Amino acid sequence: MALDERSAARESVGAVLVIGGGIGGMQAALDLADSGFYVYMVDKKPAIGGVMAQLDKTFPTNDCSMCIMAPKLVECGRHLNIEVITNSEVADVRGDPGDFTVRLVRHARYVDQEKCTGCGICAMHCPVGAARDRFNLGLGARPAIYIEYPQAVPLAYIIDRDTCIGCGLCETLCLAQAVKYDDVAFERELRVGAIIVATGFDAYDPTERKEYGYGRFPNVVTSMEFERILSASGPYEGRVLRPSDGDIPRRIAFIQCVGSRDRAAGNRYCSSVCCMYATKEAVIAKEHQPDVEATVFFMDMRSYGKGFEAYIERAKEEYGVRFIRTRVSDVEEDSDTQNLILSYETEEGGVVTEEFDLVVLSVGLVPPRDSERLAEALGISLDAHGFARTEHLNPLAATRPGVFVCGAMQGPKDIPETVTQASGAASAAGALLGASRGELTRTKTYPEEKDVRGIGPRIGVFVCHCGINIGGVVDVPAVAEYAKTLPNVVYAEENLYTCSQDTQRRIQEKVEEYGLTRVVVASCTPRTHEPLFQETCREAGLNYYLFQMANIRDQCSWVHMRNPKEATEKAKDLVKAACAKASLLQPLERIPIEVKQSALVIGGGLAGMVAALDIADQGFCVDLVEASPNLGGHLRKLCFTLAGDDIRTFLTELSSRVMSHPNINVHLSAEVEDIQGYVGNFKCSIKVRSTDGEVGDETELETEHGVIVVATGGREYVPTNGAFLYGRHPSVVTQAEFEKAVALGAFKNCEAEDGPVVMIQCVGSRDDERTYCSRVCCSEAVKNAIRAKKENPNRDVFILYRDVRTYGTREVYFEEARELGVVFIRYPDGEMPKVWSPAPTVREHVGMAQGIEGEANHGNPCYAKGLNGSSSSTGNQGLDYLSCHTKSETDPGLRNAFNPKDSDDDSQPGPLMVEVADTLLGEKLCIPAGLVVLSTGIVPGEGNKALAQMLKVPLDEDGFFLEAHMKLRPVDFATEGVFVAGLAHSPKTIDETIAQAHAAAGRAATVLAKGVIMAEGIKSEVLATRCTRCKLCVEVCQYNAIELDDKDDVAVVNKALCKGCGLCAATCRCGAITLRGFTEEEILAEVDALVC
Amino acid sequence: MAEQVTVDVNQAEGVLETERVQGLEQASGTCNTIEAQRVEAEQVEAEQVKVERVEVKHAVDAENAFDAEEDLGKEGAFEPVIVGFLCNWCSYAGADLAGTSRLSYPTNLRVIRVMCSGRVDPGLMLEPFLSAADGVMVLGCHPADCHYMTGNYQAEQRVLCVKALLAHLGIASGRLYLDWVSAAEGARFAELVAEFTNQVKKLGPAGCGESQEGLSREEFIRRVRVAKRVCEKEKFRWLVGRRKALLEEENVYGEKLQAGKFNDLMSFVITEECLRAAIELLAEEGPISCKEIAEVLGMPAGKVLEHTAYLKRAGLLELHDVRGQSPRYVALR
Repeated sequence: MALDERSAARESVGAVLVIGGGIGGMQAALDLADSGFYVYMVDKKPAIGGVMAQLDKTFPTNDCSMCIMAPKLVECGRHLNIEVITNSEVADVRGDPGDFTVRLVRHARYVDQEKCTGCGICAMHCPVGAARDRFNLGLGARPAIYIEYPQAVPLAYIIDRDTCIGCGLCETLCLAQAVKYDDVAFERELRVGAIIVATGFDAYDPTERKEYGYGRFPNVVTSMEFERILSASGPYEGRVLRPSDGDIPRRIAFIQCVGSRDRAAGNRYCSSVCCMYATKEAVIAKEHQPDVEATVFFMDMRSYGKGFEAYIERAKEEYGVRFIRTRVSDVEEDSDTQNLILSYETEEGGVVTEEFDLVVLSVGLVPPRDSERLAEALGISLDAHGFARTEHLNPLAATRPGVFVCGAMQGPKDIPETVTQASGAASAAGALLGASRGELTRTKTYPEEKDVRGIGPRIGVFVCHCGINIGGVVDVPAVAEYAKTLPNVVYAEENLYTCSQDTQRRIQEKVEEYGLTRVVVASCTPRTHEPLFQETCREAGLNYYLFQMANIRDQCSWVHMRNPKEATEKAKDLVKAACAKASLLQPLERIPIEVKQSALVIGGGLAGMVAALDIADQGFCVDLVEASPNLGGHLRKLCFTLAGDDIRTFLTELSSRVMSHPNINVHLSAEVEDIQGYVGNFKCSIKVRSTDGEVGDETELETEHGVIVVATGGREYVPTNGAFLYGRHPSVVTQAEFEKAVALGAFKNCEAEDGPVVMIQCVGSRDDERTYCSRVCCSEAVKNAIRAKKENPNRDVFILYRDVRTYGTREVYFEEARELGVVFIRYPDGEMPKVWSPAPTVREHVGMAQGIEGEANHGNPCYAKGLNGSSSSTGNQGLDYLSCHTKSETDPGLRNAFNPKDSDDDSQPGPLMVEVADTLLGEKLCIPAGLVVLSTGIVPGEGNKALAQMLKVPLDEDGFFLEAHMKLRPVDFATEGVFVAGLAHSPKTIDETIAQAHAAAGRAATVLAKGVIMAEGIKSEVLATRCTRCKLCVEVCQYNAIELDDKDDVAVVNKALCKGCGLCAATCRCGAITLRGFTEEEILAEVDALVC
Repeated sequence: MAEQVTVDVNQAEGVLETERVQGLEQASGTCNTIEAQRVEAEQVEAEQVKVERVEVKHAVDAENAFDAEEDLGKEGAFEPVIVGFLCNWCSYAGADLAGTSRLSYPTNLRVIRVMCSGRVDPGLMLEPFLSAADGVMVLGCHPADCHYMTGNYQAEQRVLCVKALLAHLGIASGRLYLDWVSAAEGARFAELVAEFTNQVKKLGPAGCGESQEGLSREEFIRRVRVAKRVCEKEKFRWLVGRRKALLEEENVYGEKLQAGKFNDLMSFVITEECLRAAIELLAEEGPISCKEIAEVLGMPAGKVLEHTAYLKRAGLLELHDVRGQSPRYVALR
């Protein structure tokens, strides 16, 4: 973001509009609301949750989608500083960054959202039963009054005016009087400082691809439909059945790239996620139904993300999923069996037909259908594909200043990328509005807490009828009467709706009137309603934790409708157990932890610089520690982006902004020696070498920080032992070296006779040693090939590849490369092309080898212990761009590599040959190469291990830092207050690194902005006299919340880090640990009350 | 107790065999990971049983011991009491979803919500049996879904070990059940509750001559107390706590421990600790001599002496008086 833009936003509004309530919108809203901004979250649908709510499982961890997103849904719905506005659309936006006026249209809901309790009586009796269930993609039916899905937020019904016949039954049945037939659409104006667009995507409609028969053949379904079929809450309750006859399909075909990489469909881009989700669906189908034979028909397997490659391998090996590389040309139906006949060409050339029971079309991601209208309303422009236009080096900013974009609306992407961008967009908005932080957020004030110690438990019980939801089955008056007979109960009553506003007030009155010290509510589930009643208790002057709930609806009346007698007995038992536990409850303290208003950013590469700038722009101090004497890291090796941006100019500007920012302290040639402490209070020692490089001249710094961002980068893989003749033949270079030479114009003057350029992909990636895909190499090769072809169309360029992984909108560059005449030759897995020279050149090419060593060293800053990470290579034939700038004209080695005939070196090395097994021709090819370019992968930094130990955070099996959760916490660690960005996390491109760095900054801001964090009250506690210091608790705790004290005598719980899971308490050898809020005594009291 | 133990082991094995056959059948049918776990649990038990194997005198056909099927339809048939420990994030949410979806299941289950299945201490799993429960369910998040990352894995370890302990004591390990339910699996939750309720019905009322174990109420409670005491023992808890790390990761020598080796040790510890716990419990009731203990437990008095001496050294028993030629001990607890 430009400087003038920020200064223009001095008088900004401390609120942000988030458009779209999917996982991206939710993450952005939560991050903003947690860092001091008021958020309006607008969704056109009646409930938030987006596509992720419809998914069954998520790759590559097979996590249950609903399980992991439900807590976020509830949090958005309840957050004091998030207003969820559903069923609404943005009409227009006026104003400037920092102060926009947004006009919204809220469509009629016909149900009063405030009054509706979500009990569902209306839907149960609604006579309309055949409306298309959008959530289940039409595979099921729903009534005219409905909720999107059971966990919907807000949990309020809506009438579908198109199918409603207006019979009036729901109004009669609704005891909450929430039905409102005269509801009308209305307009509303909001004032916000920034806007985040997170509208996601729509699935491609495959009807127009006639050859696949979608819409004509019932057993051809889309991947989204199949996702619902797999889901336990889906139309078939998770049983794999085919729509035509309800039979279990044995042979399932997945057809990839439907509506992606497809000019005819108008979508030239790759949808990025289909290879993985199809594999996941195949795996899950096999888990549900082990005799399923799943076949995936694909063009290139694009498993480029973290952990993806291993997932595909597992699908092949463990689950026997069959992968066939081809494009299915035609799907026909056998009209008797309704099975489907697929025709496709094999790699060997013949056309084959094969029969399947079910065909799943892996449909691509397309921009939401109303995005043109929305773009117009917002005043932003769209790119050629219809996604929001952004720049490669500024991937989160839309074309209108103050408007940011994240998730699939920015281009096709998966959930972690979306969540990353969402946190990033929140950070960018926060940086714009930093001055007005906290101006519009609301905080609640409470009466002083009553001291209940010494007063015996006095319990008040409130039993809810929930309209007729509970009262229709359970004898509520009898339960209330029964409650009065229980020990310590001094008051009990029944309510029509205990959650209604007036009952809330009533509870407070009764607490006063009867001097209640504990409150028990018997109603629905604590998962949704406990926080509400806890608030009520707190407002009545009681501690949050003096509350207990009995779930007599979701787990009693609703599931025992036909057994009213037993249900009433069970309800009594549940109330009895709740009262028994309530009698033992003790007030728990939410401990305030002060947060040092400063961040430590480790690593001064692209990720570190962007994160530091964002945090600094948000108004916090940053210490940026870089091991080498220069900022820039890996980026210093690159010259231009795929889109053609000049990286060197960008880097110069970025570095100077960092160096001159008043909130950033840059420590070059410095290493972090030690880190102690926890979120809010980290203490670090930093060792700084003197800038003139003299050994022994070091200074030590002690710093304190609230948060830490790990941005230590990665390294370029360097082939060793002369593999591919690298380092032994001057005409064998890496992609980065090639890029620099091309950028310097070395390619302009060469001739076709100089021999073709042969690029070899997957050098150091996807092999036995490093099984993962390095993600960037395909795009890098395509980028450099295009550049080379444009500079010199006469010289042939070959790319030898296994799968071309130009995912997302990068696909168009792959297309461009082919149009420019770049030849792509696929070689089979495990048959790496060979490079040899007919006249053996055993002689080491001294200059080159030295250069490489220098490079290797340069790319290797060891942050923990400190190698000499300086770019010592600049003295010799280094490829560091700074030296290239000045020295390339006189650099014979490099020039020779490109134009051998110009060489003035007498000892001319021999010509190069590349031998490759061409899968298409089925034979070995020998290509005489003028230049061999190795697409070397990215390997983790060497200092990772030491740093990980220091921070007590894990590394993955490849040696990259492992985030807290692959899907929903992509830049967090399980250790609170520590974040990760860039190549330290995994290989990624420049725009992805920038987005992730913004995200780390955004997450960091949620901690820093608070000043004080309140730790939850449910915590473990160690009874020191019983502890035998066996450290079993330390081993099982995933949050590093327990360690032995200074004297190594006894385990101590760090209350700031403890999450209250109780694992330690249940594991402790000696019964020394109790979990307050769920103590042994409390649970035993429940057991005794329930069973006797 | 020698006689009793023989019968018990035999019975436990009978149960085990039936369960295992069912388990294997199901496992081969569905390749379900849970079934695989069940089989594994039973293998642990098998190891267990081997250690204490004594000459088998009574062949009890477990399937005939209590014919539940027959009784199911009858008026006033046995309705088991079942306690379920459900984790807040997945299985409790799944139970809620069963409600939202209005799926009905038997009313026998009483749910206790915990934040994580990993909170459920081995002793807590047994506590309901001391009241009037006939079955206990522990439900957590699916593997890799745990809200606290690894709580469900630890719960799994504990259930495996407690099942082995129950089997050793001649209590049907099928009364304890572990499974995973996600927030989206309302129907699955309802099915599991129904299935488990049925399974417990077949096992019969806990502590009733007609149940599969054939134990009197008094004896059943005594054994559960023993089990519960063992669950408080440091040795047992240490092995439970380390099991996963030792079997799946590395020990201090950088080796992966063989499951057989671990299970042998576990069997040994269970055997020893059960006996010690039984002695402790008797000595808590009042002064008692080794001979008397041996008589009650049906164990050789020499064996009892060995453990009594151990417990005395450990400060758990003390000498009370000497009656005739026999020193009598009381518990210090």
